[in-house]
Amino acid sequence: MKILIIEDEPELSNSIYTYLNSERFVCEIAVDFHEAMDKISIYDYACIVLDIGLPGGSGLDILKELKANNKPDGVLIISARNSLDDKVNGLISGADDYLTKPFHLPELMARITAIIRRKSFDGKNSIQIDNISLDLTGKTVKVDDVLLDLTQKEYDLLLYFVSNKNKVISKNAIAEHLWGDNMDLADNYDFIYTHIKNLRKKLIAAGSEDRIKSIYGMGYKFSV
Amino acid sequence: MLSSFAFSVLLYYVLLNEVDNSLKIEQREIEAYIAEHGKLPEPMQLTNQKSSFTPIDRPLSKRKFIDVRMDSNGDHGSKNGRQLIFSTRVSNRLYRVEVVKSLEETEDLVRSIIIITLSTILLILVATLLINRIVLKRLWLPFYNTLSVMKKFKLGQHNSLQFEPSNLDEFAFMNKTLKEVTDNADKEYTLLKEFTENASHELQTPLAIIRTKLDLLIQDESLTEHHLRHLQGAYDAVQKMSRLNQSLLLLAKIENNQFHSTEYINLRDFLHDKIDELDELFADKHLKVAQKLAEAHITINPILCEILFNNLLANGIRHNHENGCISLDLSAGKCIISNSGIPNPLDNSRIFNRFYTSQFNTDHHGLGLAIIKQICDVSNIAISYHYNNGIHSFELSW
Repeated sequence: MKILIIEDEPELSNSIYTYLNSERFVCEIAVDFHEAMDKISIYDYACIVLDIGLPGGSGLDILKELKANNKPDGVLIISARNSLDDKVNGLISGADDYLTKPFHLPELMARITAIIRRKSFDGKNSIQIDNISLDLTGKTVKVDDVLLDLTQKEYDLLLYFVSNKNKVISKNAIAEHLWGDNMDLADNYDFIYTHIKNLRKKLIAAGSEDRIKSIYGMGYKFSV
Repeated sequence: MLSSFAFSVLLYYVLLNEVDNSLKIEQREIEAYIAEHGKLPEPMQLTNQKSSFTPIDRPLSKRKFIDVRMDSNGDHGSKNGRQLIFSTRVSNRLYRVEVVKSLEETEDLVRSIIIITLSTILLILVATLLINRIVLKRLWLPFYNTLSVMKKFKLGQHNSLQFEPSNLDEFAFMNKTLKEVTDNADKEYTLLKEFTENASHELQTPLAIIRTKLDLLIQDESLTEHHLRHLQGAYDAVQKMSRLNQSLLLLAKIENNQFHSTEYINLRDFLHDKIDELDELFADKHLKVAQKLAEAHITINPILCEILFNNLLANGIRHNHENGCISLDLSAGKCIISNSGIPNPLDNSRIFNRFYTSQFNTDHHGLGLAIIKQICDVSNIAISYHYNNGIHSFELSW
C-alpha cells in the first residue's frame, strides 16, 4: 500500500517516512505544492498525510483537487493548528482525519491504519493477529474464539498496539492516545501501567502469547 | 454672606454720616435763629427730632455726636437716636444745646435696601445656576457622549470607536484624536496577539520534529536502560513544552473570542459524567469525592465548559495529597469546588496571573488558573478563591 507524505519540513517528513516504511507501507514524499499535485494526479494512494501550510500553495487546494477528481485516497491532515481553531473546522469535513502537531508517530500510524481500514472495508472489519482477533465494528476481542471482557481503555490500548506492532511506543504516546486532550489531568503514568498490566493478564489468561513487553519502564512493545 | 454683612455695615455708616450732616444743618439753623432773634428757639418735641436747651457755666470744647436711646412718645420701648451736643451763647449766657434725631427711619431704610439687594442677588444666583445647568449640559453633551463611548472601549475588540459627530471644533478634534489613539492601540494589540499566536504555531513543527525523532530513536534495540532514561527526560520536556504551547494558544483563542457560540448546559449531568470520567484519577490518589449536585444550568460555550471544569478538577487532584478529599457543591447559579491541599492559602491577588506557581508545586506550567479566569471572564462567571483550614475552594457564580 502506498502512502504519500506531503510535508515541507524535511526532517519531519523524513521521520514519518522512516516510521511508516515497512513491509506494509511504501512511502513517498512530496515537499511542496507542485510536487504534491503532480504525484496525486499520477498515482493513487491508500492514504495521504497532508500538511496544510505548504510552499507554493495551500494543502486545502490539494484536498479540493482530490475531491474534485473523486479520488479514493484517504487524507490525514497534520497541522500546527488544533481542532479548536475556527480556521481548521472547514478542513476537517473534507479530510478523513486530523492530527495536531506535535504528534507522536505511533499515533500517526494508528490514524493512518484506521483510515485505510475504513477505506478498504470489504465486509470483514476485523484484524487477526495469531490467535487474537479484533472485531472493529463490535469493538470486541477474541482469543481462540474466547471473548475477552475488556474495558474501553484496554480495547483502545490493544488496537493501538496492534496498529504499531513491533514498534516501541513511549509511555507519553500511550498516555496521550488514551487520554487525549484530558492528558493534562493525568500527570503520572501509573494509570498506563495498570491498564497494560490488566490487558496483558487478560490476554495471557485467554491463551495468547505474552506479546506486550515493557522496555525499561519507558515504553512498551507489542511483538508479533 | 460676608460681603452682604460688610455692605450693610458700610451702608449704615454712610447713612449715619447723612444723619450727622442733617444734625449739623440743624445746629446752623439754631445758631442762625439766635443771631436773628437774639433768643433761643422753642425746644422741639417731635417723634423723630427733639431739641433741648440747658444753661451752662463754661462753654463745651467742641460739638460731639453720640448714639443715644430715645424715649418714644406713646411707645413703651425706646429706639436708637443720634444726638448732637454743642454750646451756644445767647445774650451773654451760655447754653448747652442737645439735638436728637431718631435713627429709626435710617435703620428701616438699611433693612429695606438689604432685603432688596439680597433677594436680587439670590434671584440672579438661581437664574444663573439654572441657565448654567441647561446651557452647560447642552454644551458638554458631546463630551459626555464621547466619554460613554470611551468607557465601552476594550483592547482587541476590533470595532473602531464610533463617536457622534460634533460641530464644535474642540470636540471634533478630541474625538478625532481619541479615535486615532484607540485605533492605533487596538492595531498594536492585535499585532502583538498575532505575534504570540504565530510564535506558538511556529513552535509546533520543531516540537513535532523532536518528538518524532524520539519516537524513532527508541526503536533502536541497541539502546541501554541508561540511554532510555535520558530519552524519557527529553520526552517529558517536550511534552511539557507542547502543553505549555497549547495552553498559550488556547488563551489566545479565548481572548480572540473564538468560542462565542453558547449552549444551555445541564451542569448537574455534565459534572456527574465528568466525575465518572475522572474516577480513575481520584482513585489513584485515594481521594474521597463528596458531591452535592443540585439541578443547575448554565449558558456557556461547551468546549470552554469542558476545559473549565477539567482544569478546576485537575487542580483539585494535582494539588491534593494522598487520601485527601475533593468536593463539588452545585446549586442553581453557583458551584463550589474544594480540595484538601497545602496548609497555606494561595496568594489571592496573584493566583489567576499567568505563570503563577506556588512554591510547593513547580512542576506545572501555571497557566491552568489563568485559563480558568479567562474562561470565566468571557462566560460572565464570577470566580473567587477561598482558603479555610487546609481546604482550598474555588467558587463560581453566574
